[in-house]
Parts: sequence; structure tokens; C-alpha cells
Amino acid sequence: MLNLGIKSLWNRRFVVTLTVLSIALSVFLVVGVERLRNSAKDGFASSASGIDLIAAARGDAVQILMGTVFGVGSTGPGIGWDSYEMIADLPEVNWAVPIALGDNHRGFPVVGTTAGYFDHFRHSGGQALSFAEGNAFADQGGAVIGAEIAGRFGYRVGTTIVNAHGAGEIAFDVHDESPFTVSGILSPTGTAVDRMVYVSLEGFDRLHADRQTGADDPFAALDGVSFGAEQAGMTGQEIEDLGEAGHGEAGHVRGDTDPHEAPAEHAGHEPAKINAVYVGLVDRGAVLSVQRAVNDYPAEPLTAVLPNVALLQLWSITGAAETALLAMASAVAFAGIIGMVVMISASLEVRRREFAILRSVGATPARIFSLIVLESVLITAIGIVVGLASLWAVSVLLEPYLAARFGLRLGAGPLMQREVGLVLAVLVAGTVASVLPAARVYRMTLADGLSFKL
Amino acid sequence: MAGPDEKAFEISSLRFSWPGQRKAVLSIDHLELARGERLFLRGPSGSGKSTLLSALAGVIEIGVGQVHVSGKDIGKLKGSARDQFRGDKIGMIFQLFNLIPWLSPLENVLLPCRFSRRRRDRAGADPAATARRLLVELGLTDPALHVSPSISLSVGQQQRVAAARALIGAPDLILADEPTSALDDGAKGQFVDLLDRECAAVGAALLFVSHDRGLEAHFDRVIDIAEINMARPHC
Repeated sequence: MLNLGIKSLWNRRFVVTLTVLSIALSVFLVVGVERLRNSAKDGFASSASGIDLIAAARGDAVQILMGTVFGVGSTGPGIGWDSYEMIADLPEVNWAVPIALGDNHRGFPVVGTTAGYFDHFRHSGGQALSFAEGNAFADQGGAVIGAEIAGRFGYRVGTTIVNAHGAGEIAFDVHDESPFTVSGILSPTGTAVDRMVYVSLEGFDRLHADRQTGADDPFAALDGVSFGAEQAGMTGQEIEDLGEAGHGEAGHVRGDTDPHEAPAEHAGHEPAKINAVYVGLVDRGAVLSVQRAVNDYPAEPLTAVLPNVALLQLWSITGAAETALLAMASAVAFAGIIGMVVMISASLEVRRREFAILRSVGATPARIFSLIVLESVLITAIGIVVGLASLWAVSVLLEPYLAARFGLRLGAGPLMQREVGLVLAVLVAGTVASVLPAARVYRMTLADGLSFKL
Repeated sequence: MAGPDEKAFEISSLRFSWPGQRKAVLSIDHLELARGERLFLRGPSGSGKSTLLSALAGVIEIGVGQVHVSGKDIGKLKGSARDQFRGDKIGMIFQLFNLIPWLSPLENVLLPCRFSRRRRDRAGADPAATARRLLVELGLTDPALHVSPSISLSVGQQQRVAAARALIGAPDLILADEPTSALDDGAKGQFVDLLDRECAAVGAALLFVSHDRGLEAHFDRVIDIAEINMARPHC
């Protein structure tokens, strides 16, 4: 029977090939979209995979996550250095990295942190950050930039950059009195890290050290101008200027320099305020108790966020888009199967004679019915194989590009459970759909009999 | 008169009309064919010949009467059992377009062996060899023809392949529905000769339906359907 089915299909190989290709395209899209979606989700969920907790001023978990890991929005009021020390001193805590936010470089967030950040931060399923060029900042004038920033503006190690106050795209207040020299460029990660500028806490605070006015004071820029004359070290160096002066609404906390008290781990600098603390634990099992300890800290209202939980929460907000994608892919699959039913149905009239011959040699209508279903299953199965094979090939070809550009890792590996489900759904749909033309054949063969006159 | 086991088929008191029509197409009191006998059934088109063949092949539900093939009342067989019985006991040759286009002539000949275990068992240890022998005996001597696309064959060659398919596995009864009508006169006689010879070789009875009186001499017995069918559907 299988032999008959294959030969029958081979006889109509041109139309069958087109049908197989349409099914293959369906499978390619359905599984591809699912894989992209999963990869995006995984990449997203592992945007901060090395971090067990993010502590910040009391606030919403998603907002804190957005502000810290993605550099979007603000984390609300800052937290005191004492809170950082409290967290860092907890026995369960292995490492704690302070994060200061609020400035931008040409619209890209500037993060004040310590060199420990580059050791502890993990992305895309636990990969450590690595330097494509140079290394971490050694002093307060150094800056580490993400791959996208380096690529977009053509920065190299040694380039001098100037940051601006505020987190928005448009810089109102340029800290051109405090330039940084790029000390290192990170390798592409496909995450928000590519679009961030890292400076030392000390350097970060230096931007604001001279400023005495409050962050929301619209006239602060005027003060800034008067201090501008004091800054030095710009001559002879390439200055990346943002131009506009002004003062922006800001989520960032103005730090005050505090030259004394210099814990070794922070390169001798202790800011008054930071925005968040990335925490790594000795034992991840203790995460809930540490979270409670942070949340219950009496001296300052804090929130400790489990990044993975908050990331999934954030992802669920974007769920509508992924559902839409999957719906589109399913529609393509549906169209492919309809195409197959049309192809098979269209061939039935021509094949009536064939069925009469098969009946004359003893084939029951049920066997002819199953021949039609078998042909559909074969078409669908071949389509699935072709679709998966092309997806695999495309994955292998595009992997380096997608990983670097978008942090998407399609992976040419075996099918995930859900993907198997989708493929099976296509196969079942193809089989079920073929029952329509097969039922017609069944009725036809019964009515035609051996219809000698055809 | 031969006993039931010695008959290829026996029709008694058959009345048949197509569903929804009152007028009978077939009304045959008695017709029988002995094992190995070759009967020429003559009649113009529309005289109920094809309906009679359908009744014998068990593809129509006969209303009144009995049709026994190889001693079996096929009216009592149900659905797929009847298809199976047909595959086992009957070989058929149609007027035209006998071959499945996507199978080679050899595969076409072997088709009954796919669907009938009896035919496969009776086709010898190597059915493919038997099929090739039949094709050669029927005049397709070039082995390349056996595996070439069926549609590349001439009509005469196709009819010979159809005959080989009907004959393989030695069915009890061969039904041939005007198999020579598309052949030229010289080929007709040759085809019927070959068919006669092979039917005799496998011991099959042959019911040959045609309106071509020139072929009557090849057969044991000749009947005009008008003599036995009282329904006269063409009137």
C-alpha cells in the first residue's frame, strides 16, 4: 500500500512537490517562530542570569528590573551606601555589585558600577561578559562600552566620550566637564549590555560632584556652565559632544563625593547614594531568606527582586505579540494544508478510472480511502522533514549573525517538546484534512463500481 | 447440466433495475458458464451487457435472483468480502484504459497479487517471473517494455497487459468487456487467440462481451443477449 502511495505521488511529482513545499514552509514558519520565541524568551529570561537578587529602593519589581538590567526608566529614589554595606555583609551574600543610574551617552544608559560587574554579570544562559578590546576601567576616567555603542559611533579603546544627565534619548545636560576615556569594549551579547556605557562609581559621581543644585532644578544648567570652565583634560582629545545644554527630568540620584572611607573593593570610592545592588549568593537556596532580610531592612525601605521572576513577569506583558506571531504561523500552516486538500481533490476526477481498476483487482473502497489518506500523510510527512531540514540549515547559517545582532540562539538541536507538539499538530491536521477528499473517493468508488464506461 | 462446483458462474431469476428507476435493465431467467468454458456474449451497447458484468463482479446490489460465482452466492457476501472474493476469483479486462498509469506494465500485472492472497499463491513461487512469462506469451517479448511507463504502450499492448493482469494467479473466471473494440481487425483475432490460449492454460472460464460477430468463431458458445435478457432496456 505504501509502495502504491509513493508511486502514485511520484506520478504527480510536480504538483506534489509544490504541495510538499507549501507544507514545508508552514512547518518552517511554525517551528521557526516557536524557536525564535523560545530563544527570545530564554535570552530575555537569562538577561541577568548571574544575578540572584537585585535590591533597590522600594518599588515595583518590573520597574526595578527595567531600570537596572535594561536601562529603561528609573528605579525611583536611590538607596544609601549603608544599605549596600548591609547587603554586602549578609553572610549568605557571595558578592554585591553597586549600580548607579541616571546618565546617558547619546541616549544610551550610563551605568556606574565596579569592575566586579564584569566578573559577575551573566547573559544568554550563563555566559560571562568578555572584552572584545581593552579591559575594565582601572580608574575613574575609564569607561567600558557595549558592542552596539562601539559599532554605531565607531568608538575604539582610547576614544573620549562625554555623558549627559538624564535617561532620555535627548540629552539636556551634557557633562562635558567630565569626559571618559574608553578603556574596553565588550563583545556582543545581544542583550541590553550592548547598549550600555559602564563607568566606575567614582567616575559616575564625578559628573555630579561639582553640582550643588537639585536634579529637578531647571536652572541648574546655568550653574553647570559656570563650572564648565574648571574642567580639564579635554584638549587634544577626541570629544564626542552632544551639543545641547539643558536640564532633564531625571531618575538618577545625584551622588556626592566622599573622598574618605575607601573600601578596597570599590576602588576607594564610597558614594552617598546608588540606585541598586546586584547580589550573588553563596547558596541560591537562601534567596528567599535574603530577599526577606532586604525587604525588612529597617533603616531604609528596600525591595529585593528575583530577576528571573520579574523577567518572566515582564515577558508575560509582551505575550500578546508572541501569540500573534504563532497565530500567523499557524495560519500559514492552515493554508498549506488547505492547499494539499485542494490538490488531492482536484486530482480525484482524473483518477476515477484508476480507482475502478484497483477495485476490479480486489481493492475495497476502504483501501482506496486509506490510499488517499496515506498519500496525504506522506505529503505532510515529507513536507515536515523538508521544513525542519531547511530550518536546521537556516539556523546553522544564521546562528552567528542572530546571536551577535539579537542575542537569539536558534540552536540546530533536536526538537523541543512543544515543537514536537506543533509538528504533530501539522501531521494530524494534514491527515484529518485528507479525510475530506478520501471520503469523496469512498463514495465515488461505491457509486462508480467498475463503471466500464468511463 | 453440470453440478454447482463445475460452474464458473450461474445466474438464476435475475432481475435488476437501477435505483430510482422502475424499468428493469436485466431480467435473466438462467445463464451459466462451465469451468474453463469460453462464452461469447453478443449484443449492442445499451443491451445490459455491462450491467450483467457488474452483477457478476459483485459491484451492484442485485435485487431479485441469485448470482453464483464459483459456487458462491455473491449476493450474500458483504462489502469488503465481496471485493476480496472478486480479487480472488475474477480477472477483468476493460474496453480501454486498463492500466494504472503510474505503475509499470509489470506492476500492473502484479496488482491482483497485492490484493489477493489466493492469486499471489497461485501465481507461483515468483509472481514477478510468472507475470513476465505471461507478458511474453501475450506478445510483449521485449523485457524493456515490461518496465517502461504504461502510457508509452500502444493500445494493443495495453490490452495485452490487461489480459496478463486478468490471468495472473489463475482466477476461475475472466470477464472481458469489449476488450478488442479499440484494436484493428488483424490485432483483434490475434488478441482473442492469445486470450483463449492463456485462459485454457490457467483453466479459467471466459465471458467475452462484444458486438463484433467476426470473433464468434474463437469461442465454445455464442449467445445473443437479446435471447436471454427479457428486460430489453434499450427499447
